[in-house]
Amino acid sequence: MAIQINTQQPDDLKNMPPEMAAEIEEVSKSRRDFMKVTGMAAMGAVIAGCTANERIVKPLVAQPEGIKLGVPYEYASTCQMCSANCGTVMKTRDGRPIKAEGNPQLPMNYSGLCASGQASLWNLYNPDRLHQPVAKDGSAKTWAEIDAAAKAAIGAGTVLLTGTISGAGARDVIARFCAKTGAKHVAYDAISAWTIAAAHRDTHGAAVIPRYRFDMADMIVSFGADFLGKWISPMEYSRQWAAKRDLRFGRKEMSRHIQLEARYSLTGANCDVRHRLPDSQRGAALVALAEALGANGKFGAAGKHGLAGGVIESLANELKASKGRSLVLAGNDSADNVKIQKLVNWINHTLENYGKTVDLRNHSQQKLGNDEALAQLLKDLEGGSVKTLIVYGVNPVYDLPDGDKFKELMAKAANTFAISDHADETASECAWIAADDDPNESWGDFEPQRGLHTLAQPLVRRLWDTRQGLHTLLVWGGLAAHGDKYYDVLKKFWETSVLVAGETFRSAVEMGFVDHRDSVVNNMPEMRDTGDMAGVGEVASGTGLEIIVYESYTVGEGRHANNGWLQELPDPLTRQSWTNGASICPATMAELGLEEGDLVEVTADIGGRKATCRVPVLRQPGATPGTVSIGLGYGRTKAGRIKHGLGVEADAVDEDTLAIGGRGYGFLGAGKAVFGSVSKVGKYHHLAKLQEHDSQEGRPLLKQTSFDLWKKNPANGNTHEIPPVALTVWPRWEYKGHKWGMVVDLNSCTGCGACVVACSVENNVPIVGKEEVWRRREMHWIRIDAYYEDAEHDGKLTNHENPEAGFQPMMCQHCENAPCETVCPVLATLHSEEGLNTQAYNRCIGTRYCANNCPYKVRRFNWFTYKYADLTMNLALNPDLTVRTQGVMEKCSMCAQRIYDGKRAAGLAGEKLRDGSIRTACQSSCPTNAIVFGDQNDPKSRVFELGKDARNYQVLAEINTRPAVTYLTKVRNRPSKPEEEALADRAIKRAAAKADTKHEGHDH
Amino acid sequence: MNAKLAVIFFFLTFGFSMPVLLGFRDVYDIQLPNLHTYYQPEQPIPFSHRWHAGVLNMDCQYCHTSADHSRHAGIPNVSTCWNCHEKVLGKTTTAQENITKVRNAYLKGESVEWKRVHNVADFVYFNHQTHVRIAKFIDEEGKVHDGFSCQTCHGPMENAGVARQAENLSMGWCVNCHRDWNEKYEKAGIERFAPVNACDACHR
Repeated sequence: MAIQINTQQPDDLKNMPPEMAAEIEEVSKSRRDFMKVTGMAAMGAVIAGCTANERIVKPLVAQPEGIKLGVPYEYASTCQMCSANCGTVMKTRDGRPIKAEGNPQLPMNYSGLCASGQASLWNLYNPDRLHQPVAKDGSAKTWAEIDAAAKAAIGAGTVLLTGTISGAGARDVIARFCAKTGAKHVAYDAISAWTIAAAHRDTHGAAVIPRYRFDMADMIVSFGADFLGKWISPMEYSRQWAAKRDLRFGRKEMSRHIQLEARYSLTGANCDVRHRLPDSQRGAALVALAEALGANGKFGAAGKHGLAGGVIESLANELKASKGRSLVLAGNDSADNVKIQKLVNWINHTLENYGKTVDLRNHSQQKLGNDEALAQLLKDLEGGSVKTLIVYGVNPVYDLPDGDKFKELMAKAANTFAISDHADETASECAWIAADDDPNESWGDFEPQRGLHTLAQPLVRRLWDTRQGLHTLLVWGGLAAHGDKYYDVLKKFWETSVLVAGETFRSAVEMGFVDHRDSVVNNMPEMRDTGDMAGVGEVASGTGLEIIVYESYTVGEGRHANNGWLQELPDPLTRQSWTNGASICPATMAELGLEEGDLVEVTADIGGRKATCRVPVLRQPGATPGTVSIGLGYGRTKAGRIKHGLGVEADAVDEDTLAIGGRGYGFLGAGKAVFGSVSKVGKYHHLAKLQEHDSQEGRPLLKQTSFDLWKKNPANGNTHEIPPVALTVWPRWEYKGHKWGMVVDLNSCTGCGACVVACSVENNVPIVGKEEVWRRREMHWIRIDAYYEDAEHDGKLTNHENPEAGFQPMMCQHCENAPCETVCPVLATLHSEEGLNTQAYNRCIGTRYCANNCPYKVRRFNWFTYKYADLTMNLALNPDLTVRTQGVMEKCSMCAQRIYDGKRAAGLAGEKLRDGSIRTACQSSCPTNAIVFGDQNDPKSRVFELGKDARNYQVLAEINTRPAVTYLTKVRNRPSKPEEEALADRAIKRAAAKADTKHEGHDH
Repeated sequence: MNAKLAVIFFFLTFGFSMPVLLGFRDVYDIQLPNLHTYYQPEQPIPFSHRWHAGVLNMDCQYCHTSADHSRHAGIPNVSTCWNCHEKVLGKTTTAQENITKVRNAYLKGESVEWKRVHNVADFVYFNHQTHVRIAKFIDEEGKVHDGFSCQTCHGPMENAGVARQAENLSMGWCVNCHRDWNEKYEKAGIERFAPVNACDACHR
């Protein structure tokens, strides 16, 4: 539905349509000049208060039907930030989307939506998008011109290169296009999972990626598969994984998760037991595991792996004990190959996991790229048989291992067309670029899992003169005219080929999906022989360090590198933003004489091709010695203005300070472990880390215990002695009505960072750019602190070998005895009757006393007015909340606007507030439901119940701030550590001593 | 010399308030409180509330349609005027002139640039729906109604000509009313919808 942008709220810039906002910018510029001259007079006038604030209100000529002014509407759609295609619910106001959330109905990701999904609005309003079709020189063209050129060029010898396209309707369009024009379709994924599909082709006769069921697995063994971070369908996996480990509300079961990996991944940080295993030894370890499971030498001899004796044996025993309820995975990274995946298939088959935790019937269609077809395309380009190349939605010059070569090969094709929303590295090499819509402007369909069909619908009128890519293909294939609507094509296809009796297209659009998974016929053959497995157990060797590349947790594969919210989001473990880095463990850093922040050049020779990448060194406790890991997605050169640091001209700034990081894709594509060298070339300026210190210094901030101890006493891990409060000058607050509170389950939190971006989008939290982050002036209202177990204590590393890591979301704790409230000289921060610590921006004069007095360091000061360089971005602002300006302190408000919306809805219905009807932005983004918000005064609420949980604790309880935000102890399903045992013992002794004194008291 | 001193004195005196008063308003284009009771700007079309709401007794929400379901009361779309003025052309010459203006705007598909009368500052999140539909009003007989009348804040608009601001819309004026009603609610035993002292009810 195309909605006209409403112009009825001209009272502030944030509600302006782009063209009008631009005018205002003009006016205020000239006004500033005017002020310079007549400042005095004007000042007098303003102070006297005799100017009338004349404001124009310009109503629409006619209000669009069904749209009421200022009322938010929610539409089901599908996220297209990555190929996982999670379901979303988009909140729109006055014809513009302002917030993306997960679709709670969709039985895949449910309400969880990751950081990039949350940040999708940035892409929509991004002014760097193409505004019309352009030619290679950047000159604007009309659609008629580009269509004529394309129709003349497309025919036999045409190749259409795309990413994963899973939707039935979309695939039909491509099939029709290819049939009509004789074009060939090639799909590839920047971060490929082809090895899994190829392995299943060999072992099961179907090149598919299974749907993994973490919610049915009691025992998860992952060889480097980062399924909680960025692996095929991370939101779905996170949810399933957490559901099996949730110990709240009386649940007592917990799965066991063992991770064997080289780098320190997000999944490794959340597992129960983590073993360090270089990727080069993965095959050897898997063969050893297969042997222990009864392979009888089927896969040859296992090479020498570095795992401690007994690890593989105990793994095998545990896996055997949970046959049919276990899951073994191997990640798709540089060292991965088809043989390793076939071995994993054999192990899962031996453990009887197929049909249970490994589902081939409703297999994943989230990565449909075919590396073999891509390799053939490169050969065809080389051989000159490709006359016309259409690149749709992918950026091979950037994200193929040998992008430069692809650039050369592209030039061999006579005609090159790109369908892209911005002139990226590949599109800018094409003769024509057909400007693509943002996903929020167009219709689309997806089938992330076999049988689960989802729909995307447009939520805003096209901002620029763009055209949906699939429609462009229809036009170029002579199957539609420029003025036709893709909606008609999609609706017709769905009505004939997707929907079954009783379903209408309208109801499917309303829900956002139709679920036909149960009616998919299971025609998957049984496991065959694994075939040739020679050399699978060999350990690759080489000189120098082992180089590992992985999809970044922030900007992902790099397509969205121009997204400020994602750039400012720190890596969950290394905590740096605005760049990637070379993560090296402290021991190896010392060996190489490197320090954190050194700029290094990482080089490797991959089959005669030299791969290189310049990145800063990042200290990563727990990384495998002798390895260096580099996040992908950075190093874009034609991403947009973000690479220059928010449009600020990079004059006199060293190139290294630019926020582009290094391109790591060169290290992919070897099919075995890559070895190379790391050499220092200088110092990286402004390494923007959002957390410098990763130790708790012995304080129980993030409490954790073992599952065994928890089973003995749920309070274990939470029995630290807190000195009693002898004296307080403050009277206790009395909360008569609601008392808002939040409980964060540290056992569920994976540290993914979705809540950070969700909060920024919901609450108009600005991004500040790399240099300001480096000055510790980030503005995030919620941050996720990462702590390594005893990572650094007294300046010495006590456990830098393989420390456990934990994550703790930290936002304003809304203390009852709030230290900030007592020091504000102007009463800008006050306690509300409902237990919230409120901040009135208009009162704040910016003394920053409150931030200095905050023990949790959650208050943020606006050192500048962080205006968007281009006012189109203002359309992404939430109109329900002030846009703060320079000199104002701000912090988490527990989404006050949502609280009042919830109250209003209840008042309207004449009901009492239901528990769960108000959801804060962080809570609703969380894929694992780690955050629960509610009324602590309501004895039926979940926060009330969790408040009584034995695991519940307050951070820094000893200072008696009495926070409204409390946490639940983290529990790991692994043997207890001595300090955890000691803590439990002390609690028992204390209880005994207390009982004794009581007893004595009775005697006397 | 004296002039220089005067400048220094001026900046010392007003320097601190300058960024607030000048900077906010003119550099960032932010709406500051406008405490003009009786503010009555000249409108492009001198629309008479007395005629429409008073004499013709039209409901306020016929034109301000979103008052009961949104934060904004809404200024009527030109199409709303057209509903009647497609046929109603006016009797007097002045009326005909003005009606022609709005008819032409509709026929050309253009909007009318009304001057906004009631301006609260940008950092105030007043919600019409809360007050017109949800908040409980207790009349003199002790009966409880859903919502307050528009006249409570906007004055007897049906007696006004061109729209005019009746109250000063300052925070003190808001809070006084909230306090009064809070007492009445407590007496009547009505559960309060919003706490009267919470800053975040209006400022967020």
